[in-house]
Amino acid sequence: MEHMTIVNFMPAYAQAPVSLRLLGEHLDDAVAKAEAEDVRLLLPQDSRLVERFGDKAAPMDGSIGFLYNNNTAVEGALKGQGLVSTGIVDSGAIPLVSGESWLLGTDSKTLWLEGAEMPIRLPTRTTARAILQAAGVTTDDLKALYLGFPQNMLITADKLDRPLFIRTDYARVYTVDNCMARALQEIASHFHREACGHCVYGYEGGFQIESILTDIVNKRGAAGDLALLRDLCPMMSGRALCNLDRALAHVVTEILDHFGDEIEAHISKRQCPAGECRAFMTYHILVSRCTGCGACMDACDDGAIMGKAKFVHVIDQRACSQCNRCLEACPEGAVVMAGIKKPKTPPRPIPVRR
Amino acid sequence: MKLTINGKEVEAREGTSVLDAALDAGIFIPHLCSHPDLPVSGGCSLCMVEVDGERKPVHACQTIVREGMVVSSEAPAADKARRLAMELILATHPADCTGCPRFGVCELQSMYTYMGVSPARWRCKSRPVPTDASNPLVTHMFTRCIRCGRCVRACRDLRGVGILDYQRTKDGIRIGVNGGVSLEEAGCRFCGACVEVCPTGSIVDALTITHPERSREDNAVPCRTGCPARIDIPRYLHHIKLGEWEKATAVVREKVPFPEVLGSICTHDCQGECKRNELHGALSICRLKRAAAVRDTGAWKSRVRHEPLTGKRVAVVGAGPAGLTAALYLAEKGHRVTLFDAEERLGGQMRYGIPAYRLPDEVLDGEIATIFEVTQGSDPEPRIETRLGHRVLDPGALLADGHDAVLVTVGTFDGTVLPMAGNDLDGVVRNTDFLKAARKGEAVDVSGRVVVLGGGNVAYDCARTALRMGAASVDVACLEAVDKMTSTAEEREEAAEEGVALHDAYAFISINESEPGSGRVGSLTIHKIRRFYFDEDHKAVTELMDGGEETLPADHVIFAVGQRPEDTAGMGLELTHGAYVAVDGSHRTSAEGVFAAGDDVTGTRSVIAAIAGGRGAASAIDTYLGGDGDISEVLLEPEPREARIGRAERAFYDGTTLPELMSAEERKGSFVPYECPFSPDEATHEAARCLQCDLRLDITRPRLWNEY
Repeated sequence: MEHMTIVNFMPAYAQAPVSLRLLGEHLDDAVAKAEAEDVRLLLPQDSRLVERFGDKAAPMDGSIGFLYNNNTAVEGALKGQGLVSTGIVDSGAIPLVSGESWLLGTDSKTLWLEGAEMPIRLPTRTTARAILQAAGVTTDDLKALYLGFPQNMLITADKLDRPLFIRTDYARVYTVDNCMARALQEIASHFHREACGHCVYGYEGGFQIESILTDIVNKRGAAGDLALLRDLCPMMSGRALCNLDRALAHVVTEILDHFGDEIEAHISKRQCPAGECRAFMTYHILVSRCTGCGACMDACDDGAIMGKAKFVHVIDQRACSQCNRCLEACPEGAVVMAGIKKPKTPPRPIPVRR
Repeated sequence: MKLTINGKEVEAREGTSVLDAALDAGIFIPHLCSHPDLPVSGGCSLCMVEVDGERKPVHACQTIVREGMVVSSEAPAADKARRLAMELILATHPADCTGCPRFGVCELQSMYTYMGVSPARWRCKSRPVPTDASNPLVTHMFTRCIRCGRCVRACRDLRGVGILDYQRTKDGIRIGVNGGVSLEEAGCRFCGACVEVCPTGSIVDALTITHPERSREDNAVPCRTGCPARIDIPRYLHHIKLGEWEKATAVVREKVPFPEVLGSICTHDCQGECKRNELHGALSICRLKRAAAVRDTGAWKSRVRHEPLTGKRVAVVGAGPAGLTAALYLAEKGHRVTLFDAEERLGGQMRYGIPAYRLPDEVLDGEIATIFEVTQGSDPEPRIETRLGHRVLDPGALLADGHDAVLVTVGTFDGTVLPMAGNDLDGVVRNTDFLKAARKGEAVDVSGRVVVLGGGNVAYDCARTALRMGAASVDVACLEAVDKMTSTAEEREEAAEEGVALHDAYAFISINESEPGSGRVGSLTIHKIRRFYFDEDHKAVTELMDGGEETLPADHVIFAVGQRPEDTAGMGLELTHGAYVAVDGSHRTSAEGVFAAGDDVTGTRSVIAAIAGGRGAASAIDTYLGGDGDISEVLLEPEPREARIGRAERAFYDGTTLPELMSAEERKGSFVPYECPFSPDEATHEAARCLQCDLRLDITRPRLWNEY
């Protein structure tokens, strides 16, 4: 094992299997290269590529991705133990490199944007603007570009021209229509799913972050929640045993620094400024479309819809539980959801105009 | 090297962690995932300390000591990190401690009490995991788990078993068995290391094997707890597993002088306690003892205690297991012993109460001879002198006769005859007389039909002896229902195979004459009962079943319903419960210098209980005579054992090994012992089934903060 190198082809993000895709493209070269070197290739156990590499292949569980970036965890897994990281990333004895750099070197880097069909390839040293241009994304309504694990960098619209090195396979664009509380909640819950559970700061810290953010986007946030996160994250970034949860703490801090007001609005103003969080949405019946048929009233279990035949129905916002049944029941498409901008509706039923 | 922790200068060896250095020096630093016997983890972050020159607090468990290092566990930053970590742990731990089996001994509870931390400001939500009691012996209650990973490290690094690990489930990470299979399927040794190291109540001994009134040691190794003489059973089974017969016997002999006798006839309470009763059958401990004893070479003899003569003399009255045992240890302590017995030969109930097909004379004679041999040692004359065929009625007189102490171990040779019609007819015999006569080779007429009254092992001894002496048929009748009978199930099965019929749950009504005025037994009337119990006045109450009367033809009736001490009434000693000798906790009777032990004190028990009594009495008498009372022996230096026991092979889960028996047809016509000792292969295979429950006692128990 002394001179061995572990080459990681496990996608950190299932939707951005950069190294694996490149391996498919350079398969014959890779087989020859693996034959010639003292390497073990981490490959998803269900990948058909596993058999091409014989005993050089180390088949791994593909349901997670982040921990394959941690050599203490990988060393344990190669010994048949659970994927548990026992230290920060560089503390392992065996070098661990990404599949992409092993195949193609480190001058350029492949990046896969959330939702894109294809990855893009750029010089490793670049700028956020260059990334967005290469991906064909306009910057008009941009809020931030997030470079995923293990880089965990958030680039806001005002810093697009700063030079940076790409050190991740995955990026995501957030626009003005995206709620950053929700974005952070999704990131945190993804991180927590990936965690190994071995250290208190990482696992329990991650649990608290996810729980608090999930409460916030579901309108259950409490005053002081952001202070809790502010208290926890600096401790966690220094105390968690591996890079995974340290990274989570870092991302939470970054997003709170830049979008703290937007997140705080969910708690103090009871609103989602981006209009994306379902729990903050309200349901409304458009006067222009309602035929007064009563289908929505029949569907509503809360008795929250006022009206009678041939009268435009009106939703009592205090009684509504946002169950969505009226929207599904309406044959006219008259029921709509609204975020921060509400449509004009009458306070009580009025005769149908149509 | 020297370093300073919390302002106190401490010494530490190079390479130790700051945490260990502090704990060794009596400075408590909170910690949970660290365990003295396990590799470092660092996961719990409770041991945070500030080190001069470092920007941030560090884990004391992961930090190696350096010369001149200045460490503080009380620095505000370290304290903050520690308290936050504890808050996070408690936030997902069930809040109610009182229902937990570890309440009061829980390390987590101790630690948060010490720190005075509450998780109230966080999202508090315990993670419900159903309790898994599907495995034998070990119960998983992972709802209480704090993922410290001690069990994972104990199973993998300490034991080399490696079946526990962090498992990814849809509800998060938890500890579990690899592959989600049962412990047995995974290859668990049920060594209990995981239970031992768990700092919470997440992995616990199953309730079925936990006795709250017992100490940790006694609970951990129940076979040893169950043995009246506390023989170190797991230790000798380990030697048998390795085929080391003489070492195994040496271990047995550290506590009892009759390994082969016990291996043949012991009531083996140890087996009833064996944890493997829950896992494919108890270890055949008793038979393993015999397997080792028959292959012993006597290497232990050179190590027995042989103290210089004290000039004191002790009279032992009754040469049964208690008396012989006491004589041995008293002689080893340097006292001269005069051993009295009313019979012509030594052994007491071992010879006159236990049939020869269980315990032949040669075995008993051999082990008794060994007692005389080792106590004499290189002395010119024996330390134990015998007076056989000499019934002692006044122990006090022996004191006057030059003895410094007397031990009464006369046993219970007075068989009980129930007060019922016909109990004085010809053909009615007492258990004690019957067995003794049979053993002496006296002619006893049991021709025809024999009915034995009683449900204990002695009743079966009588029944099977009668069969062997030519009875045409043998019936056993008893008051208890079969599941309440005191005889062992094995005994009943073997007897049934030999043709002994059982009538359980019957009241005895009368013994009837064969013909009016004949004066001879002709039949026995019994009556089926619904139940029987003792009322508040301790009077037996039987509820008869209507129409349940039956009459069994009988030519002989043997009473085997109990036995009492024979000669105690006239000894001038205070008695209790009738004829039993009253003693205090040190075996002292009401008469100065007179001690008592064995069945005449405890009521009829067992050879092993009598031996334990003999040991206790020997120690007490030695103390009385001015000695230190220490009769312990080390006949084999304790040997280090492999703690890495590795994953279990399939054979580990085999059922109890059964010995080869003669066929019922063959054995019922003969007093030759019908059970063969285990072959070496059988013995090593059976001994390898031992869970080695005592291994877990080698695991260091972390001290709680209040023990510093």
